[in-house]
Amino acid sequence: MKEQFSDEYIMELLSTDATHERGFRLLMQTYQEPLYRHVRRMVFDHDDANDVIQNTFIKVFRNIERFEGKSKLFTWLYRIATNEAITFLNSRNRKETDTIDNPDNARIANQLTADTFFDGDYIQLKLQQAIASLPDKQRAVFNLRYYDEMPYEEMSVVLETSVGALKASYHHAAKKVEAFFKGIEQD
Amino acid sequence: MKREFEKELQDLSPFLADLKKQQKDEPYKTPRLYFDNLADQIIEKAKGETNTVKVPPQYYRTPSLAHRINTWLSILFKPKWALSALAFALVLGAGWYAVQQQKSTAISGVQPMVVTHEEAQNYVKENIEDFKEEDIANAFEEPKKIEKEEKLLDTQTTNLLPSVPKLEKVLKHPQSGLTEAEIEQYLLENLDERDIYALNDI
Repeated sequence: MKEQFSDEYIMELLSTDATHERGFRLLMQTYQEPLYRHVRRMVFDHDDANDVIQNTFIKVFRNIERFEGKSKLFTWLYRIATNEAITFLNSRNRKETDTIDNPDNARIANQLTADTFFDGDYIQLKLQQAIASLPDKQRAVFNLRYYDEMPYEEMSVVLETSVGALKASYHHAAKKVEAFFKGIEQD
Repeated sequence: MKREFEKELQDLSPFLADLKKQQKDEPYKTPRLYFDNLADQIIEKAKGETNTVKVPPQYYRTPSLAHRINTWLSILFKPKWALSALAFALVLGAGWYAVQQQKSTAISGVQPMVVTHEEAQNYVKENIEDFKEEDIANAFEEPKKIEKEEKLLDTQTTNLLPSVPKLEKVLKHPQSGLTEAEIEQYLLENLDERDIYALNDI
């Protein structure tokens, strides 16, 4: 069982040069796994998730003094990670020219089937395929609520969107995912 | 909070609520020891990338003229630039040589042949039927015309000479404040130019 440290203690260590690195290691120890899972659910592939998570933590390492403490450290980290993931997906979408013939959900199904770091059953594979069919930001909303059970107020800070818009987006996303499964049953 | 979330999902989609209860395990895996090494990798990378953007202390200072010349010379003498400069110089040199060759060919093409007076007389005698009487008469007048032009040229050149003592006289005036050596130097330097311009005008 890993020892847990408070945000205040981590920030105190990060505030001086002598203890900065130790503070950063504790920050990573505390938050790297939930952040990785969040990013991985956004981009699906481990190598892509690794790139995004490394960029995220490098930004945190360099800009930690910009964290003003107005939100939770966890919320601030999620915000950076989500932005990095969406930037990565936008960049990948621009590079790919075959998205019309080979939409995300079909491509993700093939990718996850071949992925040695995906250990889900058929239902989980289909669920990821359904999530892949959502637009990037709506996917982030769905994942943060469905998997991480994040309160709407915190999501509002992470995604810079109003609580009302987030509720509507989550409801819409949940209906689309359900419809995707019903479509499979009908086939 | 947990209850609130579960109720929301149950109301929204009983199907997804059931699915979530059944699917407890995380399907996404990572390579072994991935999280154990991630912090080291990121710290190394962050420090490395920070180092690459560091600049020397003099970076933002305005460089001195000597430093700038030195920088330009060092750029110029880099192998690729030196080769480019050499190639450029060769092309330029070849172009200049070709133009000079063309000029000399053109000039030599119109240059009159050097024919002695005796040779010319012999030629006329032998081919007298090819010449008109008018041309032969003009040929006798031509030397006189040339003689006149030469005399005129001599007079114009000689007319320049009296101006030198006049200039010397002006310069030697007590109010000019010039020494003998300065005047001599001035005349030596400027009369040459004056003569050349005057002759060109003629």
